[in-house]
Amino acid sequence: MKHLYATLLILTLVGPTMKLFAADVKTAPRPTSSETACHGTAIEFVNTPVEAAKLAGQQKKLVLVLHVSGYFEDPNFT
Amino acid sequence: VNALANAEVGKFVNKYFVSSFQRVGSFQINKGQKQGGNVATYFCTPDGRVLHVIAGPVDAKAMLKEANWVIEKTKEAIQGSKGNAAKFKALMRKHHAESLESEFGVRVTPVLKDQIMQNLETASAYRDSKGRRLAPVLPLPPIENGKAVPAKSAQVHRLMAAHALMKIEDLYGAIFQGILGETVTTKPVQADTPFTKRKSG
Repeated sequence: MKHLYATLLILTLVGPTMKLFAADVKTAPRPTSSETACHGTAIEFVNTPVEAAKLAGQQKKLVLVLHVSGYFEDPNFT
Repeated sequence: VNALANAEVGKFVNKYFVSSFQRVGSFQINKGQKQGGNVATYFCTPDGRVLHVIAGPVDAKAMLKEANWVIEKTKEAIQGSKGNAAKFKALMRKHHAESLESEFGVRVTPVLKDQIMQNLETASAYRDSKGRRLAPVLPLPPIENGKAVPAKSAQVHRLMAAHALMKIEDLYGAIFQGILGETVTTKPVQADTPFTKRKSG
C-alpha cells in the first residue's frame, strides 16, 4: 500500500485560472502547527479549516474537514 | 467516533491529510429523544473543493476504504488530467459515477461541466428554522436504470458525479440536510472541540 501511494500527487487549484500544481507527498513532513490536538481520537486536528488548508498547501497534503452536530462520545447521540 | 479513534485510521489520515472540524448545527434532547446530531467527513483539495464525502458515522473499515478511494482516485485523476483543472474535475466526477455503478449497480451520467449556479437569493435553498437561506439545493443526475439508491454512500457518489470539486460551503447543505436528513441550523462555524465530552490531547 505504501508503494501504491509513494508517488501521490496533490492538486492545488489556485485562483481564477484554476492552475494545477503537483508534488510528491511522500517526503512531506507532519503539520508544524503548534495547535494540533486529537480531542480523544487518533486524528490530529488543527484549529480551523483555513489553517488546515494553509498547512495542506505547504505540506503537499489533502484536507479533511469534519462537520459535526452531536456528541460523538456516545453513539446514541450521533 | 470509533473510526476516528482507530489507530490505523489515524495513521493513514495523518499521513495524507491535514484535518480540522466545524459545527454546522446543534441538537436537542426532547423527552429523552435526540433531535439532530450527525457527522459528515469531507475530503478536499487545499482550497476547499470537495473530492469525496462520508455522510454519517462509519466504522474504521469503511473510513479507511473511503479515504483510500480518495487517494487512489485523486492520484489517477491528476495523472490523467496532466495539469488541466477542468479535466481533473471531469475525471473525479467520472470516478464517482463508475463507483456508483460498480458498487451499487446504479447508472448515472456524470456532469462534466458545471451548470450555471444560481445564487442563494434565487436558488432553491436549504434554510434554517427562521427561513434564512443557508445553502443551495443541488440537482442530482437522473438514474438511468431505475435502481434505488438507499445507501448514503451511494447517494454521495450520485451527488458527487455532478458536483465533485465544488466548494464545501456550496455542498454542505446537500450532504447534511439532503442526504443525512438533518436540519442545517447554521453556516459552518468554528468550535473549540468536536467532542464536547472528551478531554483534549
